[in-house]
Amino acid sequence: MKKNKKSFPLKPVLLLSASALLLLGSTIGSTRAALTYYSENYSVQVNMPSIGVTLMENGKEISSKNYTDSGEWAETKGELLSDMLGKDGKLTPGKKYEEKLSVKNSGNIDTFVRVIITKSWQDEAGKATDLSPELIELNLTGNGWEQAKVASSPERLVLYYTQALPAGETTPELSDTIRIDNKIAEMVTKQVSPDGKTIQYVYDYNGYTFHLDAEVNAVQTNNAKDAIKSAWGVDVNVSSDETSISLQ
Amino acid sequence: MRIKFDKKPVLLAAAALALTATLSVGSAMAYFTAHSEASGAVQLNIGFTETEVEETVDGDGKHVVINNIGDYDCFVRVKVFSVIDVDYKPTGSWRDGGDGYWYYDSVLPAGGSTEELLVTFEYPKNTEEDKKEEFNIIVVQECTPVVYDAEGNGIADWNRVITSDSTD
Repeated sequence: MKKNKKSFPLKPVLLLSASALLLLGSTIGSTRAALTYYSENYSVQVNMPSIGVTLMENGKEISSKNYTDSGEWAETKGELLSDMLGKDGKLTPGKKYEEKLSVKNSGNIDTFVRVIITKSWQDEAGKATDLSPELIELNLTGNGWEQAKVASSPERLVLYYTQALPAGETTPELSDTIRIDNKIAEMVTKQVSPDGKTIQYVYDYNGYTFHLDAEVNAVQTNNAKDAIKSAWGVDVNVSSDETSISLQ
Repeated sequence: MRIKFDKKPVLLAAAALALTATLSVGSAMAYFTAHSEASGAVQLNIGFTETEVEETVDGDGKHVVINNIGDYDCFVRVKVFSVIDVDYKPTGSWRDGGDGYWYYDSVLPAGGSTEELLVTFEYPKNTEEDKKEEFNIIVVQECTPVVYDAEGNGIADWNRVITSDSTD
C-alpha cells in the first residue's frame, strides 16, 4: 500500500514564522524601552532633593538627621550641656551659663523648622514632678523665633522659626543663656540634731539634676501649609511666596 | 435557581482595592520631613560650707584669719566684742561695713583662707592692778553662700543668710 505523502501547508508555516519574528522583535523593543526607562530614572535620582536638620549648641553640631543620596537616613546624636560648667565644674544658682541653641538646614532643600524644648528636674528615682521647671530659666532671644503660647507650658517650650531656612544656612540663636533661679537657694529645710544642740540647714534641691531636652523638626517649604499641617498637626499662615509663616 | 458566588475572586478584588487605597494615602503624605533630638543634664551640687576662725595673739594684737574648711565657696564677715577699745589694721579685702561687722569682700573658696585682720588694743592705763586683769576679745565670724546676680556677679546677701550654727 502506497503511503500517502503529507504535504506541509505553506501558508500557516509562513504565518507562524512571521508571528515568531514579530514576537522576537517586540521583545527586543521592550528591552530597549526598559533600558531607556531605567537610565532616565537614574539621572533623576542624582538630583533627588534631600532634607536634613541639625541642632546646634554654642556653634557646635550636637545632633543631626539627614537624608542621603543613597536613600538612607544618616543620624548623629550628641549631648546638650556637656560643656556648660567648663573648668570650674560647679553649677552655681543664679549664674548665667552660655546656651546658644540654633538650627542648621543640613539638607539641600529649603525648610521651615521648629524646636520643642522640655525642662525638668530629676532625682535618682526619676522625674521629680514636685520641683518647678520654671526655676530652669532658658533666656529666649526672640530673634526670628515665635513661641507657640498655646502649646507651651512652664515645662515645655514650642518655638517656630518664622522664616524659611535656606539649604546650608543656620537660624539665629533662639536662646543665649541658661540659669538656675536664685530662689533655689532659699528653699532649705532645718534639721535639728537629736540632742537639740545643733541646728543645720540643707538645700531642698541639692543633688537633683536638671534636664534639658530639645527636639528639632524640619518640613519642606513647598506646599508648606499642608506639609506643616500633615507633619506637625498645626495650622499656620504661609506667605504667598512660601518664605515665611505665622502662627494662628 | 440560586447563583453561587465564588468567594476567592471577591476577596482578591477587595484586597486589591485595599492595597490601592493604601498606596493613594501614602502618596498624599509624602512630604519631606526630618527631626533630630538631643538631651543633657547637670547635677545641682549646692550646700552650706563650714568656716572656722584662726586667732593668734602677740604683742601687736590679735591676728584673725578665717578658714573655709567646707566644700563650697562663701563670703565671710566678723564682729569683735571687747570690753576695751580696739582698733583694726586690715589687709587685702577686709572692709569696715560700718555696722559693726568687718566684711571680707572676696569670695572665700572652699579650702581657702582670708587675709589677716589685725585687731589691736591697748591695756588700760589706770593702775598696776588693771594690767593684771584678764579680759577677752571675742571674735564672731559668719559665712553666707555665694549667690550670683542676673549679670553673673558673685554677691553676698547677708539679709538672706541662713547659717549653720551650734549651741555648743
